[in-house]
Amino acid sequence: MQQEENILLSKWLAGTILPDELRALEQEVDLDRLAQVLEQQKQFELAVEPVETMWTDFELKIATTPSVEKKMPPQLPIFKWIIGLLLLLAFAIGAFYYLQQQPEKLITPPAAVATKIFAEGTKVALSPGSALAFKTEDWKKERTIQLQGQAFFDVTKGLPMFIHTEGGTIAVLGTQFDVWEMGAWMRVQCFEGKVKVSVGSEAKILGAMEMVFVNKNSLSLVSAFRETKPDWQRQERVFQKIPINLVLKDLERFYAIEFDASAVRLNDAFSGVLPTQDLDRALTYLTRSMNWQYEQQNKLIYLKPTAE
Amino acid sequence: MSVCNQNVFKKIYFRWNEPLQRFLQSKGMERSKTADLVQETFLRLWKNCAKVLPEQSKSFLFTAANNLLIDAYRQSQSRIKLQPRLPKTVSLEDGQYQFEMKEFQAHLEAAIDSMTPASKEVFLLHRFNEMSYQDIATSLGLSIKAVEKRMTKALKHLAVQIQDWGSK
Repeated sequence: MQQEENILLSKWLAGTILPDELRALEQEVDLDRLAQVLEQQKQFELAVEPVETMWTDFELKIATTPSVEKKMPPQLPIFKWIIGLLLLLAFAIGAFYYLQQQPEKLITPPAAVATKIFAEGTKVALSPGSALAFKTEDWKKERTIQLQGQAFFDVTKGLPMFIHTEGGTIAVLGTQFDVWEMGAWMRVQCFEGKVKVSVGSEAKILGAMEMVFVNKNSLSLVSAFRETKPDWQRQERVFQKIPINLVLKDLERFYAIEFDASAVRLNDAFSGVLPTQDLDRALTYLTRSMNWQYEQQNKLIYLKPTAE
Repeated sequence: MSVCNQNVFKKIYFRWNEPLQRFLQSKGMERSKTADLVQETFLRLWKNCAKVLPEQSKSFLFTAANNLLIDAYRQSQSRIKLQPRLPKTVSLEDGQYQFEMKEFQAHLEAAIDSMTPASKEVFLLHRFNEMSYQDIATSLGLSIKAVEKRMTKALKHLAVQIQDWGSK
């Protein structure tokens, strides 16, 4: 078949064929018969599973999968409200006694920050998507805080303070420092005074303007830095050879977004500085340096490799 | 109304379930696997229901289905299965008609299955998914011209196959 005739049949089907072209095509193809078959074809559809049965299965599935939005409670008759209130009261009394034994928690959702000021004056600024847990009643003996995520500490002099993370422990007296932990990886920056970072049996002491990294139970050499505030309080993230999956988690924490990275490879590490207040710029810079493309649907970001 | 509302969600489910099954089959997914993949697609919508407006649910669903399909391996050898559209206009007792329809269906299935994967895909999307050439071009990342070429190839293949079905 010649080049020009290449799309005659699809033009014929779409009804955009010219009379001359039609005459030429008729010489080659039995159009009446083809039209008849295509007409008959319309009586068929691709076989599918019955939707009713699928819906029953699906209802079971979503019963165990919480959607992101909380359901509104259904309206209850008044007597059920009263029983509910009584139960709530009983629960609250129980909870009060129980919580006295439990640590207090401070959690920041993605894209939000919080500050906690303790009675003796210690200030903790919590970065987005992070959590602190502490028992203040024990603080007369020892100041202990559990940390997940990242926080900047301004510790008032007094009893020793211990920050526990998954990657290690930081011991301080009175000082200012920032802890950024992502599971087995952690960075501790000391801005003032001294802190001691311990991982297993290893330990390093940081002076002012010194930092150390922890990676999979080992401590890096101590290095110096010049900034007067931690990166997240300067509206940026400084990544140095960070595995790309951790970088994505970190951005999710700061922008309250979610990545779909199923189409890209996550083996590489990323180095670079990303803004925390400008999602477009952050995504453009990140995807460009990884040779990816992104597509945004509300809070969902699809990542895919750049086409050749 | 939010997609998280179960009634709204159910409506969306019933509206797009069959089109999604057919879409995935047209793109070469084996029939036994499409149902699972469609459930997975709706589960994604459910998990993200607070972030998706009802009018965006169609494009969310098809994009998600496409992504899941890329994740799963692509089965170019899968065979299609047709069923008569309901409601039937001819009485079920008409044995001769039933027989002819069955025969036609088998011929048509075989003809479509023997197309090249590229033209089969375009043919199925256009004829069984009510997608225009423009829609198909966008969905497959092709030019309209390329879609028309593939469609022509499919029609030509069909025209040749018809000759062997015996004259009516």
